Amino acid sequence: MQRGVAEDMDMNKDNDPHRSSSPLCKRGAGGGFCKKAAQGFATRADLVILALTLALLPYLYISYWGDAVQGEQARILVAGKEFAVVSLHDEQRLSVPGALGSSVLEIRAGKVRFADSPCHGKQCVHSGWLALGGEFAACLPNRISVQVVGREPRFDTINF
Amino acid sequence: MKLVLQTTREDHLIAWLTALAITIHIAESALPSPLPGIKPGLANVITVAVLIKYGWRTAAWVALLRVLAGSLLLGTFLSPTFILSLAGAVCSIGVLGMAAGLTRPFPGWRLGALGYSLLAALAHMGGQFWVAYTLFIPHPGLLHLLPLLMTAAVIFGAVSGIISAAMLKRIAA
Repeated sequence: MQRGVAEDMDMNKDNDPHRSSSPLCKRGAGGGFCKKAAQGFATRADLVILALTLALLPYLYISYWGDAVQGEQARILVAGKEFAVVSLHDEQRLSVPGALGSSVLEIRAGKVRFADSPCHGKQCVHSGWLALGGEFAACLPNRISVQVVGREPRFDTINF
Repeated sequence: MKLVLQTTREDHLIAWLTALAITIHIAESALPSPLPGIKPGLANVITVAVLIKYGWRTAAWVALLRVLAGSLLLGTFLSPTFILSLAGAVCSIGVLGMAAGLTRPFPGWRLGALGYSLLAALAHMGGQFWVAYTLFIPHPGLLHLLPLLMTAAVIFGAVSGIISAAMLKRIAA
């Protein structure tokens, strides 16, 4: 209730938030002015913007990190083209032909990893097991990448 | 013949304010950052204060000159850092202009330093991210950074906004 009244006052009398009332405050012109000075710090529109930006954050986390749950499938790309999409529940060792030779992908207990690759640094092997949606490992020299995806990819194609 | 450049009062104002912004920009570039792209962006304090006190035109000058002169002084002119910085500045000044224009007809809904600063920070990060994603690293993995980057933008935007509001109060007092 009190808040509503204060806001109305703000709207009628103090449209300009930058016309500060802090000197009045110092002169001790009354508690009302001091309270207003504190409120003049943020206008009604400011609070709306603040609320909107704070609401935006959970939305971003959900839409970009939301599929960070147990993945369902591994999507394997060779030279940028889809080679296979395999379920993470079918235990297997998959030999994927790449630019240098065959990389071996191992799938076990809902996880996938590069078990071996004919590359030099073995960065891909060191990436270890991937299990969460969105996790990604690549063997750039062999041009093979694998990404864990959830049950249903959000889009299969996008057209403009 | 002596060449005299005619300078207006506004030119001097822009120069002074830009110098202030550049100082902050450079001091800040010495700070370590946990992730590329995350920094407090305190020079925004000046942009927002200038926008509120002197209008959008002056603010746009100050923001763009700050990026240009700052990059020359730091030696990043025309490097990816500069391009990202410029993209962010252009985006944020564009959004500030739109926000100021849109709220002008509604005096009850006028934005203060906090709102402007939040919008500027988000626009800066958004523009910068978009350029980084389309121009430099078009990898879907980059999108996973977006929530973190935006969180930083909101926090630092709010902090700059509060500083800016306090500064405007001191100037007015």
